[in-house]
Amino acid sequence: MRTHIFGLTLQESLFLGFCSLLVLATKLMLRLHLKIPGHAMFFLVLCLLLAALCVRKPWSATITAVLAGCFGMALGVGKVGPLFVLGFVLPALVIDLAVPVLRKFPRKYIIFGVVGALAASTKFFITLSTDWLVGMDPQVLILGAAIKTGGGVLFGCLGALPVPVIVRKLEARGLISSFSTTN
Amino acid sequence: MFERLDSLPRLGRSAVAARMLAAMLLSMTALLWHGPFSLPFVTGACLGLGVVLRAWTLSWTRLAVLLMWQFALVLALYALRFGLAGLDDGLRVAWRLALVFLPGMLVMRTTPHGDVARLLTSVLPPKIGFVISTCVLFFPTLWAETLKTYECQVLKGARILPRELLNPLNWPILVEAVFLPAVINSLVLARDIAVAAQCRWYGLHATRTIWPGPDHKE
Repeated sequence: MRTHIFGLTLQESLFLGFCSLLVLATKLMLRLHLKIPGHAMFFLVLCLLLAALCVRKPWSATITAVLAGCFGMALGVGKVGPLFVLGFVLPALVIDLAVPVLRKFPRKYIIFGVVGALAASTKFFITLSTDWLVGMDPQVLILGAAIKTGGGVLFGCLGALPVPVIVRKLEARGLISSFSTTN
Repeated sequence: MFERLDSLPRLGRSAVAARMLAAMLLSMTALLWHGPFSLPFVTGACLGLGVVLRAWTLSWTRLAVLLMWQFALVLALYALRFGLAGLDDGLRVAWRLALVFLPGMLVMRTTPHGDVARLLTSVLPPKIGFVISTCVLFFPTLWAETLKTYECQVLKGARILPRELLNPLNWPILVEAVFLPAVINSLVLARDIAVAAQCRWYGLHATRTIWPGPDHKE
């Protein structure tokens, strides 16, 4: 199958597009029903990890995140403009960098949990840098960012835990292998 | 929601680009300029942007709640650390933080989403435009199937009703019963669309990927 964009086939790029829309749909749905801070990280980390592990090409998660950011801006989900895209892209970069490790240990839940937490913790650094640039007092800074993003880190860790099982099930049903052999 | 979209006037690409640029500039100014006149200046500029965008025609309750939460958190932290004397500084920081986010929120709420999408497709390469438009076109099919799966699982007794999902312990059931089928469906749908497009010689010509828009002139 011919390469379509960024070294991906049309099939893979469409799957990444669907993943990015799933990210947005779950974000919108959960915002309507739940009031737990940081819960959106659960499905964000889950979708990005699946995008990276199902499409076995470099930077799959980042492409998904950029697409989700574009969709979000086009659909009016993102309230804060460019920072909204950054909130997707930074966790995706962490996941893309961690993919070789995850492939090496596909059944280590601890590693998946740590990567999920690390990916979610990027929001902590975004909040930290914004607050620092705004001129917030350093002593208040870290506590404030921790309160704002602590829940997100926990949910990011939880969101990564089902991924090994899902990937194993997809592989067992021949969906991922068939996905890569048609390339 | 659709009433709100209908009430917004349609915009050209340059107008949307100018709005987004203005919002980014104002946000960056609020973030980086800490001079004595920065707060009044950016506040005035935000008000001006609001007037230009006719922001008073929309409801801003959700934004107000968000900002109030933000103010309460920052003020509480400053009060905790410095006592009541720190509230002055806290108020200034919270206000600056609000000014960082306010222009983006103003522009995103008052600009029709279709016009933002048109701007994006004019900037992005046509092949990405094809992927985006195809995904948007087929996503309702995928989502409808996911909702059907959800309803079937609820009827089968899965503990995934909205009130049951308030307990995160029930989330693994949601992932196994609804999310996994959704991923499988999206993999299969992506394969079917790719095969269908390639059967119709999609990709044979590098630039022939989408139909020209209404403003296209021969």
